[in-house]
Amino acid sequence: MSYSLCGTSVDNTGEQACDKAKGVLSRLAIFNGLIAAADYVDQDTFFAKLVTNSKLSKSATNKFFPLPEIQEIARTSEANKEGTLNLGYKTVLLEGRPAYTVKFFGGADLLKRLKTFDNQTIRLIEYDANGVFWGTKTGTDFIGYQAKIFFKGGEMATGQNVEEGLIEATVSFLSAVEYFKNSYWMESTGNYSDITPLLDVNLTYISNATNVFKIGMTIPGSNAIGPYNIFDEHGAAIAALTFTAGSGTNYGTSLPITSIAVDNTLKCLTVTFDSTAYTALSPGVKFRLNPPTPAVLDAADVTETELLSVILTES
Amino acid sequence: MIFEGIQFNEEHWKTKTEAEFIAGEKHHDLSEERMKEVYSLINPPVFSSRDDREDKKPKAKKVFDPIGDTSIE
Repeated sequence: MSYSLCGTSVDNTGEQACDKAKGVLSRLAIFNGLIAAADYVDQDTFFAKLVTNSKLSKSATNKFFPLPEIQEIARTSEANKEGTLNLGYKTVLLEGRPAYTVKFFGGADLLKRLKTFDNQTIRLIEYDANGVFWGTKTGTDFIGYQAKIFFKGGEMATGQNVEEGLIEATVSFLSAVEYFKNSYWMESTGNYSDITPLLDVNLTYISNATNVFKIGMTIPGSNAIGPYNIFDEHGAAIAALTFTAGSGTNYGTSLPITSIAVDNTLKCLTVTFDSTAYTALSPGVKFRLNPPTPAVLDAADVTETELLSVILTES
Repeated sequence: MIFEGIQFNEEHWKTKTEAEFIAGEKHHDLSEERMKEVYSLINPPVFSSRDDREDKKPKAKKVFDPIGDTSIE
């Protein structure tokens, strides 16, 4: 066959030394955002961006949600669909989509949090045991592979195998092309532990005397006694940070906060709103107390924490 | 500004009077003297001129000079 059109549609078949291949999966991270070209210009910039993104609010577009270190992996990819002709020819008709299940350690509270992602269409970044991040690209932006994920756990251990405290995640990728033909990698020498998963900490209404509100800070969880109060660890540091408040449409009308103090008896914050502005609110109107961002908290050594705003009512 | 563990909103209280500050933050159980101290830290006294500053300085007391038998200031 001396006349060929292949040259316009195929690549040469040489290989560079040290061509990257996917190693043993070590970590997964849910990442629905993108990393612009300027942020993966080199390894350090890329890794710093992941660290920064892990400390964003969970509502931020580029939030990076790291999952725990993987302890077991099983490949469950769909087999290629094959076709045959009755004289013996056999070929691949469709490439099977990649899938796997992974197991990592986590308790009842983490399981509850992870199950909020069940069957959601998300994007995943893979990190292998060779210290290489894997994902794909759209345009010049580095993104995760599109996938669906489901978390399973919380069953009694049988005592026959390592089962106690294990969470299983079933991962199914939506596009074989994206995963196999359009993969991109980024090496890293950074310490993965710097990529920090955050905990939701709810600001909660306790009581108020007109414009002076008592506000709790608790981590919701499975302990029947109640949520975990972070006051003893971080109350004073948080009280020293800047909060804002607003009422009206989208809570966009500023309601000045005149002071924030710790209440060592109730183990909460005392938040005082400007009495004139507070009195001017209509009876029963709702307003929102906005905490400092996770990055601000992190800078104040209140690490691994995202305070969530609370809606309060004039009363 | 943080005073005895209480974070006061300086920008807010800079625009208010001392009486408003004391009325608005009295629930922190600071004494009135301490409240006035906080307010003065947020709103330090402003001098309009050197003469103004001089006027507010305490006057030197007259002392007896046994050698010269005169009074100096």
